[in-house]
Amino acid sequence: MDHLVCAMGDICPIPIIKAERKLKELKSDERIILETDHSCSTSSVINHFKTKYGYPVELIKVAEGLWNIIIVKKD
Amino acid sequence: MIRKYPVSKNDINRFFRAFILVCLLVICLVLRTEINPEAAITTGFGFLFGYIFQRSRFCFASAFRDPFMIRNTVLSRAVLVALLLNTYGFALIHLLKGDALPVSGNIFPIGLNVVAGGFIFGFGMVITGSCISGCLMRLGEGHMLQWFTFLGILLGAILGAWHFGWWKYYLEYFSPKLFLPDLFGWFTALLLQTLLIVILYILTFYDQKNRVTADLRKIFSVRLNLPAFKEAVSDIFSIRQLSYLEGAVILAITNTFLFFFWGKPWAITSGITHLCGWLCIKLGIAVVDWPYFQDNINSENELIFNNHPLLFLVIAMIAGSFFSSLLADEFRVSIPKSLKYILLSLCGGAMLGYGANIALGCNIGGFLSGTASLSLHGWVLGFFMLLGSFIGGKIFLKFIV
Repeated sequence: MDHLVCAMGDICPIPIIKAERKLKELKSDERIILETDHSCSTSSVINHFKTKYGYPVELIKVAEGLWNIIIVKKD
Repeated sequence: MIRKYPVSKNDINRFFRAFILVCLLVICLVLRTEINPEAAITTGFGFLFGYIFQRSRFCFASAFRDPFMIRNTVLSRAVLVALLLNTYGFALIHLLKGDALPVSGNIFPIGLNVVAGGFIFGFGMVITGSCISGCLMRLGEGHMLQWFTFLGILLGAILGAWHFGWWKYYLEYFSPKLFLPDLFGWFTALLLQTLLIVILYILTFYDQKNRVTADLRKIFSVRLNLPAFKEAVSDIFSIRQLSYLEGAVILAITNTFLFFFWGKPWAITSGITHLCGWLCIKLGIAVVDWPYFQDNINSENELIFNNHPLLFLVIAMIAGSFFSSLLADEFRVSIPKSLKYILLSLCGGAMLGYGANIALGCNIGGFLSGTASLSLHGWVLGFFMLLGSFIGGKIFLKFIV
């Protein structure tokens, strides 16, 4: 199941905190789609969930300056 | 994890990019002719700094706050790498230029101003979500919220410059200037600094002890993979996103070159404060007699306000970030989301401006360049920025998120 987390216009590190809190509620193999307009997120969010949690992460550029980051929870 | 972005072929985007480059060239050439040759150098380097910041998504605020707020230290490690490289870069410049250098670096006394300024700056970084350099980067990317941060910085800066006279009392009577090579000699100073950085690097793995050896193995294995290294270097010019490590290395090298060509290290705050000073003069506020500005009289006894080389660097950083974001179609004008964020940006910005001015440096001029100049005040500033970020982070998580 996909869950949308909107972090548009949020200051650092709120996108990561929002994503972490949402992922805590989910079961394994569920995904969140994090919407962000922060270029920093394309590095920080991906690095955080890949290296710290080991979750598969995918970055999709939706439009100019807009990204969707798909994070899959894997226990 | 490093993504290649196709260079934007959008016509309007291309026009703006060409326009920025032409403006940059013209401004540098005009400044170079006796008008303000120092500013010609700082403009060019400011553009590079802005570009590298945006390409690598480097963030000093993250380096200070993430260990506490999200328990992630990857950017802290990148900053440590930048510090180490920059230290040796500056030491090399000393070796090459010696007494020909106008200043030995950003070496300032360690006083209560550094303690208080560092703490306030660290707190402000968390509240506003960026440091001063990060704010400039985001201005270039089109985030309108950062204009409020910038306004806050301007207000904080002029307040800090005004109060500086009071803090200076503590500077002159209680505080030593500790330039490590004067105390220990160059070899020991460099050794001590290297040891401290290595210890801090290992400490960043505080909750991931098994990663220390894995990371070290990765660092040493890079040398063995020459083809990949060559490809990575040539790829930099293909406008791909830079990793934090690449950003750290390139920033340190660029700062070293700036020190070589300009004779002074990278700094940001005094450029902004001199802009404030100029605005105050226009508004009829007498700032010329303030100790902060009196200390900046150049050799011809002329106060420089809107001609300060670092002011050109600041504007060029915004231009560099703008150019970089246009290149990869990342420029987007984004409107502030809520009044809460606007207030946080203003307050945080004011703390950034105030803290940086009383401490005589922000995360760049005070911490990065100060530490790389082997001035002990840089480490003291960094420590109190960390403390400020820690306390700020607790409050942020409790009341703001």
